Amino acid sequence: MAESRSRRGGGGGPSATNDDLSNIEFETSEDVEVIPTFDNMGLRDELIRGIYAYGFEKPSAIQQRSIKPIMKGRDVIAQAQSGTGKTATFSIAILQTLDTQVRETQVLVLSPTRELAVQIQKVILALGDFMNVQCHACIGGTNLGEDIRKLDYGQHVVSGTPGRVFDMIKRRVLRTRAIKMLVLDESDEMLNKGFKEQIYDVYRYLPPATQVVLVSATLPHEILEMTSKFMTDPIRILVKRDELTLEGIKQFFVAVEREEWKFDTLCDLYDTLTITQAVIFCNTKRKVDWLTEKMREANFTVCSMHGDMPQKERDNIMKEFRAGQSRVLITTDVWARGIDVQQVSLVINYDLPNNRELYIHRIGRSGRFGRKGVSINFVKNDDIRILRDIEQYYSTQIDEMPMNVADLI
Amino acid sequence: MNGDSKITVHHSSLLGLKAELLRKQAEVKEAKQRLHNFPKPKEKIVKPKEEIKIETKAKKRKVDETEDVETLKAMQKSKLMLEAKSQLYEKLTRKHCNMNPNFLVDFENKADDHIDERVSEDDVKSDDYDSDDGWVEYTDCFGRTRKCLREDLPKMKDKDKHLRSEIGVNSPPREEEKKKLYYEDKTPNREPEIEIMRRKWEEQTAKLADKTDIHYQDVLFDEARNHGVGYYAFSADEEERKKQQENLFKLRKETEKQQEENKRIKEMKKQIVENRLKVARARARMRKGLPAEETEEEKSANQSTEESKPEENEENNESSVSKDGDKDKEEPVNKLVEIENKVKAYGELLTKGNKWYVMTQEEWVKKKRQERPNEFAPVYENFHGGGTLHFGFEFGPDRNETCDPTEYPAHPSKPAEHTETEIPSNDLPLEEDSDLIGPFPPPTMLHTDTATVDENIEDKVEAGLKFLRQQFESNRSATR
Repeated sequence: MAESRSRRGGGGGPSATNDDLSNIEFETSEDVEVIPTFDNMGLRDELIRGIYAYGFEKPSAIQQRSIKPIMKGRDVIAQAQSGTGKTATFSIAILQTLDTQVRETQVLVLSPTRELAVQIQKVILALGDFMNVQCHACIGGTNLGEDIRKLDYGQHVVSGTPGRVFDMIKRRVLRTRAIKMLVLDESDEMLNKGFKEQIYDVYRYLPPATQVVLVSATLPHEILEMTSKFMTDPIRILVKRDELTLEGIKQFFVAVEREEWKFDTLCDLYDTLTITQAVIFCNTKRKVDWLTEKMREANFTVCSMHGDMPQKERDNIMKEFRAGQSRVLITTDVWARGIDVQQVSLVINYDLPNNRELYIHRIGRSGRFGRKGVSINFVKNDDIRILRDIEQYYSTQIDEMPMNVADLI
Repeated sequence: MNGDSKITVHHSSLLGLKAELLRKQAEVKEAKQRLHNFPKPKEKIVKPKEEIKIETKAKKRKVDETEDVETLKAMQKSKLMLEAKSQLYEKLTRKHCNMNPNFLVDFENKADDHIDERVSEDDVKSDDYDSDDGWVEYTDCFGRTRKCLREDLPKMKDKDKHLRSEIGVNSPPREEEKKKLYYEDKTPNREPEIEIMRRKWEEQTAKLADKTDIHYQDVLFDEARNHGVGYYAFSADEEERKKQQENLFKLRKETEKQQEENKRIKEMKKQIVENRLKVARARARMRKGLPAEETEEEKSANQSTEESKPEENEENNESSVSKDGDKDKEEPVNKLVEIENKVKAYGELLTKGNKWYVMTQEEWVKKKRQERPNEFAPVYENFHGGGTLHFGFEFGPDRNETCDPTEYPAHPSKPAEHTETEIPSNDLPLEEDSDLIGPFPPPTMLHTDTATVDENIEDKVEAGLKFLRQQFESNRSATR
């Protein structure tokens, strides 16, 4: 943390606070206005049309509360359960504040994975379809020349991953002078050890008065503590951890005595997996490869994705899965956060996640925007303790898997 | 068939092997350096059924007649064939097994125990399988089993490798290679539709690279997503897209206009209904015998008259508006107008039978005066008391018209109206009439007097008529 302070540079915020914030309990800001309909939010006509066209009818809780403050230019920390429309929240606010006549980057959205950055680009393009908005996905693993060309055309919004974005800024291809807003999606991940440095690198290049918006389903205390360093009097819309799991996602576990039995259990469940679409999480890339191979050997159709694959292959797998061409995806935590595929209704934790936050994000791949979902955790004897801990932490219920689990999907 | 093939295999191989053995035994001492390539049956692909038959047969033999050299040879042969085949299978299926390189997968997903057996046999087998006299068998790149001396094995293998590279047959991929080939190798196994889609997406992406403006439809890539009802998939072509958007904009404007009209018509209807309700309420009051509410009723009557005027205006507007195309709306409104007209007519008719209406003195007098032939009327400029001459009634109106401008300059046309409307009230009591017959006040006084009286009467008559109409209407609505 000392490191981050020294790197802060000219960034705004009440920087003088050296107080220990670890004892402060962060709460939702008072008198946050709740606007029950999109029509009452004072959005431009084309945007409203885009919203309805995309399939939203009534704003979700987070949308009712956060869109207005972001539109007004306030720094905002927005937390909401998985799949309740956080991406759309900041996308709508972004689109409202854009000046589409000016073909310059006005908003920068950073996210932890390339797939997520592409997805955000898609959402912004969809909601802004009637506005003819230009949004570019600036991600690693793609053709540099094309990236440069696209940015040269001029983009209203850039959605990207920190590495490539920083590269583009340094090359002066991505001009930052017109940037009004920085959005960090999955902000707790973005401000974690792995990304923090890169985020600060980018942040230093932005104009001093840039509005900052943080969005995530999980916002641990230490992340909230950090926010005072680069945010000015932020509006907080938070969710207590015992309200973080969704009623619509049923959680179960299957106890196995030995690791090998997990595979047999998975094979037994295969018919259930293919009812709609399913995602199976392993903790390592190697295990993803191994499990994929083993499933294929046993003549099950599965596809897999992880960070060691070439970007092109990752892209193709994503497209296939989104198109519904493949139904079972075996993957790592690269898929844990933010990815939205409507038809996914079952998540299997072949391995339990390494932390509590990831659990919330993983099971949140199902049950999108009010749909039903089921998550099944494979636990060896010693894992049960971890699962019970998660259960207690989020005040939720994880029962032994019933026989009729297929009926719940 | 199986039997046949079994026999042929058996015969040929046995004969071949026997010959080889004999030759070998004869030559092994004198020509150690020379190599003998024994012709073998070139069976590249053997059907699994056959294979299993051979295998089981071989096993039986193993148990029964192990000493028999020939059987041994046959066993060896079948074993080798299996090896060759397994390699072929491996190539065909492009199977990548990280766990156990010797593990075989049956093409047809046959029983697992067979696989197990083969595995165990494979385990026994090795490249340097020993026969008594230093001879070694190996499998060449064509999958044929060959023999050479132990010390020549590396040389032969090298030769084989060279040949393999020349004919371009891939060696069965080793584990490292397998891993490397993983992604490329997967492609041929994928379902054809996915292949087609991938190609399509690739083309799309290639197009996007040159496009300046990228829109949602460009990046959708067949995603299975439910959109809202208002979703419009614009064309990927920029000009087409512009056109579509313009069209949509026009349509939108039209819809807005239509919506406004509909809203106005709806409001109008609502007003009409409200008016009716008011009338109904007033009627109910009347029935209950609450004439004290007259002021209120009058108010409502006034309101209704006020409202009826804008209504008519709106009707006009509407008819002009509805020309634009909304014929459904036109009809109900017209009906309403008709009904209202009918109501008016009925009301006028009904006044005939109304007994309860008591005219004021002035009204009555005025009425009677108008009925009176002018010849018998007093001459106001030069009043001489009442005459008694009687003229025909039919002169009345004419006289009135000619006289009125001089006698009642304030309201020239009114009397005619009154005569029309008030004729029905003939049967009202007549006693009060008497008073005003006889001497009359001076014309000037009379003039002002009658003027005010007239006005009052007019108002009241009008109010009365309205009330009648309301009553009739409410009656109608009640009977409905």
